[in-house]
Amino acid sequence: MNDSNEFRDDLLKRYLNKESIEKAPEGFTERMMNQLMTEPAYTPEKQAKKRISAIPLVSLIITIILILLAVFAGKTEHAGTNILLTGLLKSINISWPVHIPDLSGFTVSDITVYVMSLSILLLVFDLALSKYFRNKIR
Amino acid sequence: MNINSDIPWIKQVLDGNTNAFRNIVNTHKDRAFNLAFRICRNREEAEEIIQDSFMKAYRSLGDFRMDSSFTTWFYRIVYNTSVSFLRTKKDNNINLDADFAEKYRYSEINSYEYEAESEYNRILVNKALGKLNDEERGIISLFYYDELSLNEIAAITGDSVSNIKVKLHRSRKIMSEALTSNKTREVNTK
Repeated sequence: MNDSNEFRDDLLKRYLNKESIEKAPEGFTERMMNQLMTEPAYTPEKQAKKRISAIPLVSLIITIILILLAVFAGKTEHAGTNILLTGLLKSINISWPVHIPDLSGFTVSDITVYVMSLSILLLVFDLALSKYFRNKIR
Repeated sequence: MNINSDIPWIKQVLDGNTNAFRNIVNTHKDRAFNLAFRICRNREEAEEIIQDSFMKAYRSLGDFRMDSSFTTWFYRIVYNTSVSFLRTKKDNNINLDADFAEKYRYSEINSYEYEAESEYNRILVNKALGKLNDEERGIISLFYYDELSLNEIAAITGDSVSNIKVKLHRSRKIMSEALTSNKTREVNTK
């Protein structure tokens, strides 16, 4: 850094430089490694479990966001989100097992249908995430 | 700082090869020791601090983000361990190296011998560093010995760049005065 070079070019540089560093005592590495060997070693499975544990958390967050989106879409008539959600569902082109009422007349009870449908979508998403993380770990 | 050189060893350790950590220790032990020593000014304590720091680094290695700099990450551990070590230490004034520096007589120094001069300089620096507080000593060490940028020092200490600049400026002034006055005393005793 330019502004730091002007600082460095001074009297202290004569006394404080790389050549005058205090080195670790003799045999430090051996002592350190002996101490370290008493610690449990890392296992790849342990790491994998740690990373996989992130999947439910990600799924939970996405589920909450989608449910909230559905609730707000139902409450707001002709809202932008409503149109967006309708478009999204249509573009997925899935034949729903039950009659889906018009999103513009969305009520809280109708949300259940969407939640169930979204749960199925999330399941697929969950599996995809799981596969992705497993591949990354390998 | 090369952010990638430690990554293969870190991966090996995480794969269960604890012995690969030896390479990490060998690479960083001297600079880590120097930082700890400059902050606490005692060799035994500095060794204790870096042992503790390496253990902390080993235990937290799984949380280390591979796209960041291991050196910065590890130095942050060493810096924080050193500062908190001194904070928790009840008697901060007992200091073997500082005592040694005080007992060292200027008249005994043979300035014509390189080794003696370098030892003399070492003591002068140690005395001058004693005029700074723990954090300032750490900043000075990172800046001069490790030649880190202000941004890197800020990342290690958790301070802002502007604060680092202020502390560095103040520390340099104090140290320059201390070193100059010691040099003047040396000339007067000859």
